[in-house]
Amino acid sequence: MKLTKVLMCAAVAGAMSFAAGNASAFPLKLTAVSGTLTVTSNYNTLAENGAKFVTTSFNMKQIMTIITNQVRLSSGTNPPAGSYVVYDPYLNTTYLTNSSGFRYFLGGIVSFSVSDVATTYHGNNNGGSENDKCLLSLTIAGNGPDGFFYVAIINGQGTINASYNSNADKATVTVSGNGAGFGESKNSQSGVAKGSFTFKGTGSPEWGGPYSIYWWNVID
Amino acid sequence: MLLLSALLILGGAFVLKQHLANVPQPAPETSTPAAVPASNILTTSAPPSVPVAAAPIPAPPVPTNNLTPEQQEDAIDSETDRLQQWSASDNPADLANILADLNNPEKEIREAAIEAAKQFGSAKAIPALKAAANNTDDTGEKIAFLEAADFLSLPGMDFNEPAPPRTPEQIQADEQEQARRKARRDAKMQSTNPNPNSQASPDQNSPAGSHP
Repeated sequence: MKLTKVLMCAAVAGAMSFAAGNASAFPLKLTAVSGTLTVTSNYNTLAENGAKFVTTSFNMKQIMTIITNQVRLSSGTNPPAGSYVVYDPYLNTTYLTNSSGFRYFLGGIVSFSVSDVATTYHGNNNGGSENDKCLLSLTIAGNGPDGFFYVAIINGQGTINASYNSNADKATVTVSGNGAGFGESKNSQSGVAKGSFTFKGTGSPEWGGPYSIYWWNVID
Repeated sequence: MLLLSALLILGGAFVLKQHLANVPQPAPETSTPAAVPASNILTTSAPPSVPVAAAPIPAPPVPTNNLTPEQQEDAIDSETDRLQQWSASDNPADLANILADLNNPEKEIREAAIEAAKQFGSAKAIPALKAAANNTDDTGEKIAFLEAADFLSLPGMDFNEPAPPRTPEQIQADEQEQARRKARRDAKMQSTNPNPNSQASPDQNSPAGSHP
């Protein structure tokens, strides 16, 4: 592991110890997620009764219902209305947060990772633009208000599109992907999730130049 | 006398011709069908005289060519931000705004409108999505419109479905099954997510215990 990676991992670990106190200046907000869960509810009765899988759709509203309900169950308090999910590329973790300073670490409920990035970057004196292909993984798991457990894992290929204005010290990053993985709906015994998602962020990033280089040096 | 009468008739005919020449002519009919407000697509109960798929939907104001590229990009960003806000609501008026953007001249806005329609989550968007699919020659976009329509035709997650009553034996068996399922789920999550910060899934609650 490169020295920079070691140092940054230590920095990340140190930052994590501050819990949610020190967040990135560049959170990527989960702006969209949608997909389907196709499941078998119970394998134990298949031999006698036959089987037919069940497919249901989900979108951001339903996923946020699960996430906020699970946060309520885990923390004992209701998250504020209007809360949203962010991925923090600096701390490499996910939070439920809002514009008033609420923040709740979503470990075990929502996790996101980027792996293996192929980058195209065009830089100039004023910044640059970036278009990457990458592998992404998004996992969402929790109890719904109905008491049943839900899981959607979306592993697949995605894109990172970014632009950076060095004069304004402002970057805009959009990470989107689609794919499939394990799925669970209403305590089903086995199933498949399929879906897509988008994270977006604008602000002053902790890195200079392309996000892919930051990812390569720090997160990978 | 005869000559005077002839002159009067000729003069009257000349005046009448001049008058007719100055009357405004009706505008020629155009082949463009009348625009249908987006809200009609949502509320109409009787089928229109023309197929819904052929009904054009008026596009909202869009960035013009007079804008600089930066201004145009800002305008697109503003509209996609509005689409995201509309998608989070349950207000039918917001759905009408989303559906209007399905026919926006800017492809980026149309793509955002498709996503917004999925996030809004109403099957009422299906006819407009199918109509938009019929109105484009872009194969990729046509597929995106139809996939969104298919998505909205599926039943969504229903958290109001009551859990069936269970006997004490069933509760005990379910608890054992839940433990087995959690171990299996955690294995799936660990194997598919290399994020070192990811944790085990939350504990599964009994249906009765997790109701608010």
